Amino acid sequence: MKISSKLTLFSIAITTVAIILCCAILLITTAGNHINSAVSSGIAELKMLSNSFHAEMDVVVSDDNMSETAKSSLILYVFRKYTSVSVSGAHYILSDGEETMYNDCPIDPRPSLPDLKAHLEEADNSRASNEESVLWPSAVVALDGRKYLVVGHYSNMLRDRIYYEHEIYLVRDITVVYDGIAKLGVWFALIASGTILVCGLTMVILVRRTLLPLGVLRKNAAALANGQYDNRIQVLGKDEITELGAGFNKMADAISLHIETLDDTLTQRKLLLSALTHELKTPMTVIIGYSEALMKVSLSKEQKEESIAYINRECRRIERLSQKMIQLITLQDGEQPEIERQPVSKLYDAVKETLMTAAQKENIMLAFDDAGNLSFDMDIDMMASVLINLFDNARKAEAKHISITADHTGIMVKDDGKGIPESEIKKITQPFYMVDKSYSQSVGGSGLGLAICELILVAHDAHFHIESRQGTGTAVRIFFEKLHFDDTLLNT
Amino acid sequence: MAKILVIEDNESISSLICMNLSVVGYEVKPVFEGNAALEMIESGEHFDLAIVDIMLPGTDGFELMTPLGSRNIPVIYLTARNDIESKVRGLKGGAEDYIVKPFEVLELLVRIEKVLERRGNADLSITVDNLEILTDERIVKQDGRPLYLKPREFDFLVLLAKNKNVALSREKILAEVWGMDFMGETRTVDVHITQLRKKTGLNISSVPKVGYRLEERR
Repeated sequence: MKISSKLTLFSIAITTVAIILCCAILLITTAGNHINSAVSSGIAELKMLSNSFHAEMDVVVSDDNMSETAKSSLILYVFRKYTSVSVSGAHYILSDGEETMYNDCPIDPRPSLPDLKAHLEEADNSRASNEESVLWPSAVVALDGRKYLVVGHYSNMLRDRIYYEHEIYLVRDITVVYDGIAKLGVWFALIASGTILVCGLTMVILVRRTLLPLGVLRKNAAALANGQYDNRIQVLGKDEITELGAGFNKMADAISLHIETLDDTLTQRKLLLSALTHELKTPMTVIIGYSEALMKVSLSKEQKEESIAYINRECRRIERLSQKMIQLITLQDGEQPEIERQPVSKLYDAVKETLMTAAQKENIMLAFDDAGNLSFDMDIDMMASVLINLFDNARKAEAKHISITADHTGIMVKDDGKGIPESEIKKITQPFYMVDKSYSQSVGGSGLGLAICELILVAHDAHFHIESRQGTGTAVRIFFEKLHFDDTLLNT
Repeated sequence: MAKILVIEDNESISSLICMNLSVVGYEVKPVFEGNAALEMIESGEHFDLAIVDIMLPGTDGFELMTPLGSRNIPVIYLTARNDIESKVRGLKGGAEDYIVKPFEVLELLVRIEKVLERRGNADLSITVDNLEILTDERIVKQDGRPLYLKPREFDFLVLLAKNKNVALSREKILAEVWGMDFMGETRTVDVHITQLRKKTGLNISSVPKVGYRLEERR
């Protein structure tokens, strides 16, 4: 079950029960009050009648001169006189305990009331004779769809001294009261159902509106799962649910950023791999070709030796290539350099021997300047690899003089080789890019050197700038970005 | 024998091609750079065929097609480029064939031979030692005297002679002489080799794990 339906149903149920309970209590109380007041007014009327009647009977009954028949007639006359003025449309019965003297009632009230005399005597014994309900017992009787209030009164004394036994009954039609209550009930029911309806609708709309963003959230999450990383939720207002939306957007941002990085890495890898495959073609062709020739073709001794030399040379090339590839890939994978503040002279010491030997072999004049006490944040091994690569490039460019100098911004490697054409400078750091493909074969280049240098420098928060003129030479400056600012601060 | 121009910038590969071609008897001329190749073509020197790399310093292989075509020199591209666009461009430009590196020596030889045959530049007579084979007339002469060979033996001899100094596998021989769908055993080849050795007295040596090779006595 959906949370919206649950919430809606639950709240509607509670509201319904509450409203029905309220209306019922109200109706019952009102009905009780109405009936009570009708009963009280009946009792009051009978009391009044009884009082007036007693007052007159007092005289009549105590007059011994009158015959019984005359008395009866008089009593009846007096009773009629009082009852005929009744405005409430009540009906009465008068009896002297044995026979009914007067009766204009539509129903006989006696069966619905206790026997009045016995009742009173019993109450006398239990000392409850002064209670209203004992003196004036009442009941509501239903007959032919109408409601009648029945009140009875028994008395055997007039003014507490004359013995006169009689019973008076009052019967009043109170259907109107019940009708009123019924009408009230109908009204209550109407109001209750109206209120429930309105409450329910409000609840449904409110819950829907509150939970609507959850639906949007769900859709977006599904889209995210399907690989659409650019969808975002519109965040309006500020409550818990919009906060959730904002949180979702943040998550989507993080995911898409992550995926983009992954995609970038993947594309880079693919490019590198295709470049590598291409780069392997030449050595493969040579190795397969010569080994096949050795196997199948009858060659002279010189040809055989030549073939083996070619195979050996290309195998070494592949070996160099694979080493550089491993270096490149570990750098791309984000192998973190151990960067510490190191003096430049230490870096020079690390490369001096290797470079000097290589330079001597090819009759190159290699000069290091005095680094003084300059120092940069660097990983000596990695920076040494950068310097060796740059030296190698200079050597391959047929340089005769190479100088390595340092100042407070960084290190520079300068040569007087054949230089790089201006259009090529931008492409020069791409893996396997070589300015002159033909001479790379003879000097043993892989086309990966500068790509590796660039990755190392990025890890150092540094970059290089290449200045070159064809025929004059090339200068590669390495700038340590962070330190540049530190040093200027220190100097000022 | 035919004279072949080899335009390939990689020295190792160029020398590999040249070595293999000269072993089977072709005359080769290597050129290592596009512009040098252009000069060579325009110099008027005669070539029966050109093997051309596409990625060349200077003028590239596609650009060399026009001057080669105008001099009526058939072209076989031999390149590392394996994409359809390059292949289509090369063949539509008028190249006779397109071979992708790394290549097999035998494949290269067969394709060169087929191109030469198509162009009518193939040699109609092959000479091995004291043997002269006239492929069109299907005649073999030993020191000028005709030698009788069965048709299958003749085909076999032509195959060996065309690829002299190069070893051929038994399967390759079966496919070329008996046809691709021949279901015979490789023993058949051995039997014919014995026959050929006896009849011609040629030095047909068996190369372990490869097959047979006709070796010319130098």
